Amino acid sequence: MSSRGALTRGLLVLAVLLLLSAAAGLWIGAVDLSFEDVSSRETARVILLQLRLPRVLLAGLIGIVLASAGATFQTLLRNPLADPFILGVSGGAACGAAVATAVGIGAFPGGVEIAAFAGALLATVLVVAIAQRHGSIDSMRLILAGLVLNAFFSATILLSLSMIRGSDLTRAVHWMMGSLSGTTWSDVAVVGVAALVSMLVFLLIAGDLRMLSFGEEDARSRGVATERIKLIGFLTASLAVGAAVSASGIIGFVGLIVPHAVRLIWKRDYRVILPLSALAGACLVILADLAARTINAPAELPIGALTALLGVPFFLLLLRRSS
Amino acid sequence: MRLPFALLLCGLISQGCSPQEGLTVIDGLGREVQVPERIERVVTLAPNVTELVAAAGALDRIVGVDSESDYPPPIGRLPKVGHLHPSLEAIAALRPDLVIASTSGNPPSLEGSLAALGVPLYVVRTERLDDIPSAIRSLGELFGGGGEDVAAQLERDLTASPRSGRSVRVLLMLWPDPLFVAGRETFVSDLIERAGGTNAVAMSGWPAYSLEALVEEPPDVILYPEDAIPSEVIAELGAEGSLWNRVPAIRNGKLHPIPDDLVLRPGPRVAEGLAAIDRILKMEEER
Repeated sequence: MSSRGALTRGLLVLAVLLLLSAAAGLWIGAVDLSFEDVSSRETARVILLQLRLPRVLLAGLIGIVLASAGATFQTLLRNPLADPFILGVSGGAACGAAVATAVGIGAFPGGVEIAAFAGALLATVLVVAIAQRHGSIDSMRLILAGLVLNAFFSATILLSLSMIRGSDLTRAVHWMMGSLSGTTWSDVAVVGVAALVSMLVFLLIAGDLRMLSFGEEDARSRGVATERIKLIGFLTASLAVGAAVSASGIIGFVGLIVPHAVRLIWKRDYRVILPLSALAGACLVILADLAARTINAPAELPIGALTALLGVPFFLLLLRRSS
Repeated sequence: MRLPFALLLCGLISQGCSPQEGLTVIDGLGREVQVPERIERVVTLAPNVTELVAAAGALDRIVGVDSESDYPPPIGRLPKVGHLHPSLEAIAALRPDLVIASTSGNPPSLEGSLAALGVPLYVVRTERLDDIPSAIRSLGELFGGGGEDVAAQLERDLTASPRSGRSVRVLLMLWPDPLFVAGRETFVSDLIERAGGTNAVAMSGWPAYSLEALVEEPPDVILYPEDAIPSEVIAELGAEGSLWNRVPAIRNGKLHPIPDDLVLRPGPRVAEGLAAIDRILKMEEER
């Protein structure tokens, strides 16, 4: 199966799946809506267009960002465990949010989101700084740096959470388990820009990243500026993840599992994995959010728990079939 | 010179090993708790528990409190033992003969750890409104009488003038984004009903609530805790173009602050919380 053939077939299948997921996401919710409702009732239109539509869009965008960032990290580091969460980027974002809540910045509208964004950026800078040695980024050191940073961030999160009063604690925990409730168009815009820019950058460096996946020496001998490509890929992925976490809280698992699933079904070529992961990630997060807001409606469940719940059996099935 | 030390050691060991002769009482969870006949030193682990013990006439027996306890005023001078995960060392240092906690908010390991220190743990149940006067009575008995008058007065205040016939749907918002609300089968929901309202939330507990449901079945009046939610957040909700502005109660200014400690703390002052909700609903009825 050629790369192009696999890509075309994969894109077709996933595009259909994505359309179906988005349609389901728009049609199903805590409140039952009919065609008649939407055409005749103002409230029904508000629910559909101001609550569900931005939410489905944000879910899709977050799926794109997390899955493409995961695919990029895995290729950059030639390490199947590389993922925004393992590298500490999501942890940094959550840490920023928790600290902001603890010190009272969270009381200001947008304060928690901005702090999460700053945390992700800080994590990126730190993890690169720690991993960089003699001008080059060593994969082992990078993973180790992520591990150490994660330990530091969780310690800081626990510490700041234990100092917050009871009511704030519920809120902070819910935020850290991920929620798309209260999605606004500005959230959609922020993550939309992040998704667009990061996908463009990833596509531009896709050829070089593919070379990198065969080995650094090899890539360098073929004229790839390996250090620069690594830095660009890593920074772009981290910033995009920071934007996603700041809009939704921590939604785990997507960046790790989606690229693996794509690799198991289709191809090992990054140029194929990247776009397919983006589409599959969008499907997974849209469906997970649909489950989060309907299973126990009108109560909402944390979406982070559901991405894992939906993703793990699927992943295990794939693993079994491929072995 | 060695003898006094040996005696002291003996005394310490015997105190630790043989529990004092005492009573067996049943606490709010239905557990059997061995307590001394006369309880002199108490540590309370939740603000509502502190208030309930004080209402039961045992304020002077409290020797330490959790760090959220702030009422009645003399409590401010007492040693604090932490919150959620209280310090066992700080509790032990106060040499309490009873620790009192609430049904929510303390780690499950607490009972075992306190048992290892030889300190009994009594748990107070305050999930529903009627639990509160009952808790005052039980605590009064625990401390050897007292509290009956306060409990009876509280019951009268909570049932004084049954306000019915108000067909007003009330939502108590704990936080707007993500939206957390007070559901049915909670003391807060009981307060809303006693004030003649109906809880706009049909589910029980303290759920994260769907905005779709809020827009589809909008409440007539929305209450929020004034200390927990900053005024900037509230101002934002009513802003032009905000989705919340679609909810008539917010658009029409039927969004009212309530005093956190009177309404959201299941203690003896809930009657004042009920009066506050009653005043708001009455005002809305008249306008």
